[in-house]
Amino acid sequence: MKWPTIAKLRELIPLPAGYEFMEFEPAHIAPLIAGLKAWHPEIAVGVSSCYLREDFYRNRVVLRGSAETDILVVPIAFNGNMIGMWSFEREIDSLAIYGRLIVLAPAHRGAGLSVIAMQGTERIGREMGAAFMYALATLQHPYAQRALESAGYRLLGFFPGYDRVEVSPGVVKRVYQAVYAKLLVAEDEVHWPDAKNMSPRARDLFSLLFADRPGMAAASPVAQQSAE
Amino acid sequence: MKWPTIEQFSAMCTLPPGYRFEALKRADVPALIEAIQRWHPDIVVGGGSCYLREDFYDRYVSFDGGLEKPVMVCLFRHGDTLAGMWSWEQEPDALTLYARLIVIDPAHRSAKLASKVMPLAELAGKAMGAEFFFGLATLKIPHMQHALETAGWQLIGFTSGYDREQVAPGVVKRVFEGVYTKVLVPEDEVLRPDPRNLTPKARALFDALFSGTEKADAETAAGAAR
Repeated sequence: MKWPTIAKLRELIPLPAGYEFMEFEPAHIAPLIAGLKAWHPEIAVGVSSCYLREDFYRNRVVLRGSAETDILVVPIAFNGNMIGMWSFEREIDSLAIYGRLIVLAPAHRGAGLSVIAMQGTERIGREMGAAFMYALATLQHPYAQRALESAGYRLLGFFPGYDRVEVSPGVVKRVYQAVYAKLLVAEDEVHWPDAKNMSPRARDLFSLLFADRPGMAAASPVAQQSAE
Repeated sequence: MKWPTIEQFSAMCTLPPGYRFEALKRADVPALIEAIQRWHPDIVVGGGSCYLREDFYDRYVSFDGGLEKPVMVCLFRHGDTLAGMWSWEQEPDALTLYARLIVIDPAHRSAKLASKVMPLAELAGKAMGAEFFFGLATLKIPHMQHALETAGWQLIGFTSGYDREQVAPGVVKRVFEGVYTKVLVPEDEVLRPDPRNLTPKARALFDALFSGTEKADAETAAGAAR
């Protein structure tokens, strides 16, 4: 699974007028870190705080002119000025792509960039040969959940405390996050589990989550919400 | 978060007579790879296949006495014989641990080594400052699901095709796995979401999994009244 070039990325995901994906290079690291601190100060705590450390970019992120690594960072510019970023991670052994982070400057949050980006991830994934894409969505606001649902991602569950967030000044708590995923392969490439190999609890939850599949239990509250 | 030493792991968990934990040394890697492939041939496909590559160990795994790295591999020995392995990964920024893999030699499966390790997640996790643990359980057999549930882990969803497995000779498909978690901090250190911030679909599943958002609703109402 090779990352798309910046030209391919621009071709796969056209952005509104004035906006453009940038090729990430070492000179972008410091302004990106400064931008993230200003656009999304809460990032100082928790799993995404690595995006505030220069060594994270130098050791783990694809930089122009360096070897291909597993994390891609794509700065987003408006009229040539950096106003946000988007980051993925590839898991080659699983043919999976993890949507790690998308942050936009507050002044650009109404432009629909998140929705365009979520809808475009499928094109990136298919271009790279990925079979599975997933992301965690905050439950502190509904926008990421909505963007993922409208892009056809399926809600698969919640992590009850995977990450930490500063919920008020100086107060850090663990938070719930929703797990969304999208399969990029044909139905016959998926092996559906046999109910007799599941614990009763697993069987119940599976029926609830996949009630929209033929042969599953009667429509669950989750499936009913999916149909609405 | 620093990985516990073998002595610390050993003090937290009593293995059946004759068995012991051993830290992974770089020199063990070729024999471990050969053993994993022999014990669990299906691992050649999918997310666990990295454990068959020496460069994975060199880049990501902590060795006995070496640099601290994100992945830990611990061996089970029975006398001088390698009997199994287990592996965790840490995410220090999130204070989170991921139970990546446990593989036991079929000849030693009756010793139930995997179930002995499970309580270590809570003991060792807390000792190293972790606050959240998660792992994936195969749906090909129910044993790991039962073991995790018995150990108090919560099923919070499924990966719908995250990994690949050989489901029959020569047939590789995407498979589902159960996602189990264990929160290692008191309940008041975990913030329940405000139901107003959930989409209808998310709220319906949250209600089903976590006894409803009514509690959060009540907390929100109480907060508004204050």
